[in-house]
Amino acid sequence: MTMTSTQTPAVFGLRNVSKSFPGVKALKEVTLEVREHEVVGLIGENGAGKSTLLKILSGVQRPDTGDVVLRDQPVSFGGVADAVREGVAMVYQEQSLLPNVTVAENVLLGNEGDAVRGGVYRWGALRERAQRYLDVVGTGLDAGATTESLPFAQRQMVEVAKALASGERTHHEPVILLDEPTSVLEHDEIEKLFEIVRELRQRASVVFVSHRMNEVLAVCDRVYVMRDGAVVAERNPKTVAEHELYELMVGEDRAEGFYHEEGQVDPQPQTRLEISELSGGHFHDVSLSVAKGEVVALMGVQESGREDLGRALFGALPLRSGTITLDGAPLRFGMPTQAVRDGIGYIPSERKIDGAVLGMSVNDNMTLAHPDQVSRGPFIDPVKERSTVRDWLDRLKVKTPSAATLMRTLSGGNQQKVVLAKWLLDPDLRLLVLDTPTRGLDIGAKADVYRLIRELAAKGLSVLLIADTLDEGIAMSHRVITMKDGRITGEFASHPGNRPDKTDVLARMV
Amino acid sequence: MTSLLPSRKSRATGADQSAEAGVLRRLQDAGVAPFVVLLVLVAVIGLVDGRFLTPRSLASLLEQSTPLALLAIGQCLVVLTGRIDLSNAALASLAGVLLAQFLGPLGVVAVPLVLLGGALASALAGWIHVTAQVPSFVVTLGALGVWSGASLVLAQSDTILVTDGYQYVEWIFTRWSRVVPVSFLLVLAVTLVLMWAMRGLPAGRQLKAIGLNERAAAYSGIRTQAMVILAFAGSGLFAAAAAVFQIAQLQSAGASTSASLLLPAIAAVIIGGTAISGGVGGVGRTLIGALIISVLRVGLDIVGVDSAVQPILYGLIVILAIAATVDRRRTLVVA
Repeated sequence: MTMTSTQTPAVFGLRNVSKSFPGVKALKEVTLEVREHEVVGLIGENGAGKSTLLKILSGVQRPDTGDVVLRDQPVSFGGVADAVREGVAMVYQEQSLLPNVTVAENVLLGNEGDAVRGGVYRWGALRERAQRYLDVVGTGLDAGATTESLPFAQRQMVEVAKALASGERTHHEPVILLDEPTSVLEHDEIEKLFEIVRELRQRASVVFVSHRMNEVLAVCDRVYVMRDGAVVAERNPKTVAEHELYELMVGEDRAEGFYHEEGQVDPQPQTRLEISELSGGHFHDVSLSVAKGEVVALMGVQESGREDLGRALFGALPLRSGTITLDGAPLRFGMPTQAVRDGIGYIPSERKIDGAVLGMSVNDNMTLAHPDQVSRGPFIDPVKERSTVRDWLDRLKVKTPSAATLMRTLSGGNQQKVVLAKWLLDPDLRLLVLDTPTRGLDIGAKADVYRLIRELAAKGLSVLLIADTLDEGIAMSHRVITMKDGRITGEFASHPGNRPDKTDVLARMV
Repeated sequence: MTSLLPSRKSRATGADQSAEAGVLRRLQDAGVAPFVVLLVLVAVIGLVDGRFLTPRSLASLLEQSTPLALLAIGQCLVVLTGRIDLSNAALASLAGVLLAQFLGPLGVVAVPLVLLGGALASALAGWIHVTAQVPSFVVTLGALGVWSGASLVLAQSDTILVTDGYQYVEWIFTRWSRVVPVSFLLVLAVTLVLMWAMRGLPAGRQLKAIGLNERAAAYSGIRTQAMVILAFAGSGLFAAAAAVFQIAQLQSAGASTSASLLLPAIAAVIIGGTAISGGVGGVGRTLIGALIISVLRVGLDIVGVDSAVQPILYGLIVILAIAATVDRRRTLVVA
């Protein structure tokens, strides 16, 4: 991977780095380098491995194999503090500033040096030194201002100044990692950030991670494309075609049969869910409908609002305005309890945190949402419960020693099947909202979940699928709806043999 | 970075013990351990002093244990949801003072009124806890102050003797055939009903689900806030019931009659095997825990340990029992 443009020496990078988590190979033999005075872009779909890569670069995690390379020397960061000591600093999406102290204190936090004498701040020296870094960032920020009084974008600049300050001790130019720095910024704030990044290039190297293609093209000198945990290409944004980058991001290998496409049945004519001008959380003025037996895939990057929309439909997120009707009847719920009564089920993306009660038995997890289905009067009927649970364990082929086994001991795929069964217990289930239901599952368990979704839809259940990958969303759905910045940006019909083009869908997402 | 993992050697021995631990865990789940502890304690004390094992002395022990057991059972409901109620003993004192004052003028109606008032008072604390999102130990610590202050104001640091209306509650501390204590039978009956309800009603599981994973419980449609308030109401109800038993026993009430029972009641919950982090345990084993504490109390008297030392012991029991049983996996920081 060589480039013909004028090259400065590499200062930082990874060499053949791999990293696995239980059940997932997050990074595969990744090699990349960051050169002096360079802004390197990193793009890829959700789950392509960008976050893991950043975590390794910033010292949060260690590679399983391979090296982090700093100025041609392999280094081993034991933690974020080690990386910062070497001048590698991350500016987080969620800010890490203390709100109620001055900007100067934040900039030099943990790095006060001679601005502290005998445990006491020398305010003059502190402000003067902090101001130097703020001037480098060049926003006209005052080191004496209270941090929480600044708008969000300016606080992000304080983060950058803080990162710069932490790199000073190394006598080398720092490497600054920007993780989705624009996702919470307004338009002119983004422009301002770009100016700062270009300015930063004079005295630092920058790694810029973003979901938004136009930003990466606007600000980066070089772009790495990631897919499935590997770096698949390195491109020059000045010369590459945008379309080529999309194609690199999505790849071409879609396994036929995996998604049980032959099981797709046309939806029924009745409208099941009708959302009109709905706003709340991170989504605005969303209108869409789902027919009986239809699977609609909601596609979008993080912060696109699709997760919030899913949660709002389940009553777990308050709405600002708009209406929802289910089978023609308006819904007015503010809590999941009501949604469950209305025949709506929800599978949250964080299965182990939000979806399952790991310390309870398989049996108790399965009957948690609809105990009435296994009760006689107000009491749980043990005989009825045992046979119902047994029945669902068999139907979904859940591998568990017994129904009394603790949920914690099951594999991810089997846990997810139990969580699904929790909703399927309800014979009146009308709508299932699935937030990345296959994330972290192995291939076999994924195929099982896909087959189940097909069967349920064929029987008339409506499904809103917040898909983990483009492949999944396109192959599993009757319709694909894309969201960006909280609004719907596109809609594609999807039939077996006539699926929408992945690059077209992706272009509406980023 | 310091390693959070145990050294290689200790991990190896840990693996050897895991099969054994599996059996132990099953016994632990069934609540066998506290029962064994109780039997051993009774046997040991019986060996030290033969008089301890006479029917009369055992009946008296069971009687003495009832106010503590009631407080512990109420506490258990709150602890199962992952909260704690530090105010229940103070509430019991207040309920006692009120009952002592109203049993004469109102007659037997005063009893259900006090029970209802206790439930409502604790429900209010629970409501503040869930709506204001203030940790339960803070809210109930404040409530402890309020209730104990109110009892002091009402009782004016006197012990109120119950003369009129005592006949309404006196029967609680009588014995059938001179041996079987009615008070303990009542507590036993209430415990069995509650155990059955926790098992047979969905609400029992919902309480535990909240203690184990509140978000997953909410995402299953459980009204978590209402359930937590309900648990607090239960705690208040049982605190008031403890007050009724205290008056039946002592024929009087003071501003701090039950105050000293707070720590022993929490110790009873934990020693019975209910996890302080919530979700694991139950009322049956809490009754066993209350009996262990009561036997311990009598035993310490027999051995001649100064009663001033006892709170030290309860404090240590609470700390050690929690340290030994807490699920540290939850608090491990993965960075």
